[in-house]
Amino acid sequence: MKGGLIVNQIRKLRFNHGEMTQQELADLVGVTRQTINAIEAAKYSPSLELAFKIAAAFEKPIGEVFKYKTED
Amino acid sequence: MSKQEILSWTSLASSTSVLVFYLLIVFGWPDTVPDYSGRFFNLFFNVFWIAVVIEIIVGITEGNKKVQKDERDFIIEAKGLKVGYNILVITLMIALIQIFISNISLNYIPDLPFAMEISTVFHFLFISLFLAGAAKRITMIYQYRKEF
Repeated sequence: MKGGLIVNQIRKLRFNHGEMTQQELADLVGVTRQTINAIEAAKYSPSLELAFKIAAAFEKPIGEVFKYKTED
Repeated sequence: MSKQEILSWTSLASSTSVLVFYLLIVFGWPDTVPDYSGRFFNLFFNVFWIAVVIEIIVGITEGNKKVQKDERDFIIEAKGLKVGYNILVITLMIALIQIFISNISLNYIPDLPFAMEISTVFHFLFISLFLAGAAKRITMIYQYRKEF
């Protein structure tokens, strides 16, 4: 399998959750705002635990928040 | 910029200043270059104190934040430590080889090439500590700027 990229819907989900800010989400899941920013920009892949925490913050299954795109 | 990134920059600035002071005091200004030692000294003196003040300000303003360091910071720090450690090991090996060569030159074969005085080897070790630390911080800054 070729290398891929983890993309996410975090920005969209934040806006749909009462326009939650990056800082608010960061406080909810226990990371810095810069980490949330890096995750949204697909510049950083979160750990499994952090991914689950983010999904739980939006009350969504993890597969709806994060997707793995392979380069085909 | 995150708190950890700012601290990487200030730490790099202050340790570079200390290294420049050390080099100026131990080795002096080279004779072949016009004497700007006073200006250099003042410049890095200011850099050092600005770095310290910024660290204090960042410590006060960011100290109340819920999260000071998260998994991304730890991963970036680990990458920096790896680079710094590798550089330290290489320079330590060079220093050990130098001590060995110097010992042979002193006791058996005078005027051996690449032989150094023991005091020079210690200066080299001290400088290499700074270089390893700087390499760590530069790696961390690169990772933060590259955003993984």
